[in-house]
Amino acid sequence: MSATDPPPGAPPPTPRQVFLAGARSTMPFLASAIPMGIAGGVLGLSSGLSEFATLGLAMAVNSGTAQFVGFALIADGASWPAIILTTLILGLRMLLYSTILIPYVKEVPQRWRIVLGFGLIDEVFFVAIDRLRNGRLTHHKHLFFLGASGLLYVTWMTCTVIGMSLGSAVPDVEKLGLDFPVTAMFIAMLAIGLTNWRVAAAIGSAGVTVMLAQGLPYNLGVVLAAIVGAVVGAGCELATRRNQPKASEQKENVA
Amino acid sequence: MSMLLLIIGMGLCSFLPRYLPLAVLAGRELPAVVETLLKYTPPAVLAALVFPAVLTPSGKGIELTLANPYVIGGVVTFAAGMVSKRFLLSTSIGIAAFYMSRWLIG
Repeated sequence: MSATDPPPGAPPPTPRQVFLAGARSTMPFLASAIPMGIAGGVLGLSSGLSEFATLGLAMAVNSGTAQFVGFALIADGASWPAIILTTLILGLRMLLYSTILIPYVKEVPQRWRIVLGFGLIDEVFFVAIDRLRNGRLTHHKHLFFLGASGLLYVTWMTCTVIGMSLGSAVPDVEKLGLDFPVTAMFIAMLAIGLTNWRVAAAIGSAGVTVMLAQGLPYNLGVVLAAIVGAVVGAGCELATRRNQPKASEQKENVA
Repeated sequence: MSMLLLIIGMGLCSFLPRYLPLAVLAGRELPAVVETLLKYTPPAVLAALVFPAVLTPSGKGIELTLANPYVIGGVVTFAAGMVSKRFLLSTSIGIAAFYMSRWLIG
């Protein structure tokens, strides 16, 4: 990941370089986005949506989870308030992401924040926050986001169209284990960010909470676990700070 | 027509949570406690996504066994990441371990 970053003290990167670095950063995720996007196209048609509605829904929500859950609810004949509310609840996790990004987007113009927000999905958030925190993304931030989310967006929509044209000939994503690469990438990010015991406490408590909260509907367990993990990690940090007021916080480097 | 309205509504519900904090709050200083909380949110979210994906891959209860390739792949990825601290390397090793154990388990 760091092989392509400029050395410290080098001249600031050109807009083009930042855009390409963004696209490169989400390239590994294509391994999962391609089969999942194709599966989405198939699922839309088999849920009884028209081709226009399948692609339109995919383009509008820009979220694999919201799209798949939406198809399932429409196929079940759920009422439109239920579908809208479910989409909103699924979006709660994204609220965390955009809140975390607040300190880093001060200089990003308002109209570019629309692009940033629209493209803000799990993968994009995690590659971007890593670079923003390490000070490796300081110039033309909006172009990094454009490259990172643009690549995934265009790929996903192309694959949706491919999936629609394939009809029912596509194999089951879960049966083939094609969902594992994204999980592996998230695990690798966890391991790399795990630099002290407070992060371990946050990870452990979030993991236990999400497993205990599996019965909750609409992914609410994920939101609850994220809150518990963040509170535990921050609580550990605040407690140690109080005990050792002079302890240096300089070497902190979380996720 | 009503499908079009539904899609627009879903799009807005998906977009607004990601956009509104960026539009309204950006540029303001957040309280120190909030910043500390936000520092630990990414690992907590990742853990919340990863644990069920690994432990309950089929959605039928916890499968913490060596016959679950997601557990094997997950543990190998994590170990490789802790040792190497390199993203693509540990991801590749983990995915290889996952498919190998799937193939062995059959």
